[in-house]
Amino acid sequence: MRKFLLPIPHQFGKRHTLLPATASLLSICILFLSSGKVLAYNLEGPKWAGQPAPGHCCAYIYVQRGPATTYDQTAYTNAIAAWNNDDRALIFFASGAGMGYTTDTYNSGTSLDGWTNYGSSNGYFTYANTYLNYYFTGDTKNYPDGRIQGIAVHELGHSVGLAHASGCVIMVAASYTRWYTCGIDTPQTDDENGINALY
Amino acid sequence: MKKGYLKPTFPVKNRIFRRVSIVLLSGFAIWGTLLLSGCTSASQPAQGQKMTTVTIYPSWSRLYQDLKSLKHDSDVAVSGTIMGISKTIPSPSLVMTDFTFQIQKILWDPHKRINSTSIIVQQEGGVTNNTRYVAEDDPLFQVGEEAVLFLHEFSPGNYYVVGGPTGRFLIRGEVVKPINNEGLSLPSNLSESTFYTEIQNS
Repeated sequence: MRKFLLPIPHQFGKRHTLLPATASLLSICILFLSSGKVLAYNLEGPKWAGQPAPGHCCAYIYVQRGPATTYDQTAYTNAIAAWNNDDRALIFFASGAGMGYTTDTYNSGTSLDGWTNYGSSNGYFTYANTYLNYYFTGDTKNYPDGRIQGIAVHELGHSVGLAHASGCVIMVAASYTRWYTCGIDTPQTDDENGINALY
Repeated sequence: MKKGYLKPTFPVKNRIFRRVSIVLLSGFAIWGTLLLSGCTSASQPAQGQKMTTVTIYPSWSRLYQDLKSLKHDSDVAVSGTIMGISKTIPSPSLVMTDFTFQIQKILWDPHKRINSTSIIVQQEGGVTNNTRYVAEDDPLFQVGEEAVLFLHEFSPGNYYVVGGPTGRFLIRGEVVKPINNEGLSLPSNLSESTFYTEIQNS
């Protein structure tokens, strides 16, 4: 502290005014740092360009629905509704081509029950493909509807720029944790904050 | 008068001119170097050497924070070394890679599934068409990587790691480390032998 404060006041003869001012500034900085809220969301990096469009409240993301089993289609429908009915998250998924794409597939050689991969250029998404794995979501694994919906909500979160986060948030990495530990299948406050930070 | 006026100013102007010239020449030299290096890097994509990376953003079925659950949900647990890539499966939905894993020690195999010293371990991700696919929190296996793996046999002789990154532990200098902080929390200097004992006892 002494080392930091001494040179300037002595040089300019204003020690009596600079010392309290500097001390106040430091106190404010310390208070700010100690009370700073830890962000409980993570971002992948890219986002959809031109969102929200002028005159719109929210990012407007077009999603094309590809073929999927009945229960996965239902999960996607409910997941889109979960994001769209969330008043705090400034995002809206609409039907249409050119941005996101949802479907499902069967893969018994992985422990992934859903995934998203996307292309990006200069910080903006060029496409985002979302998959549910009906090796897990099908009848054999007895996934409850809420767990499957949670996967779909999670993957739609990835498709707009949210990365994995910890705690009881929809972006937590495992569907088991989402459903059995946290009991959630809709976006939570930190997920909404992540979306609102992006768009 | 004019001469007298000019004489003292010429050397000053020369000095200024010389300094400006040096600064300008140095600037041109740096700019030229940068330009040339830029041309070199710009030529790389044209030669087709640039690798694109696509990240797979997953939802894992389950991640494991305790050894008992991990062991319970696994068919086998083994230690050994990644010897190489057997094949890459370039599925449009999910690129997968089959790695050959040389077993050094069988740590858990209640149903006697392992009858060979080498098995195939399949992992999501891989390299195909100059694109590297990799899961967000589960880096691709490296050839020569020594690991303890908790596995599920999804077809005879073919396995995948249970719990993705949380069923995979690196062995470095006889010390066992998790891949990331999503799974089991291990002491910083946990020895292989202590870890093996914990697996047996859990």
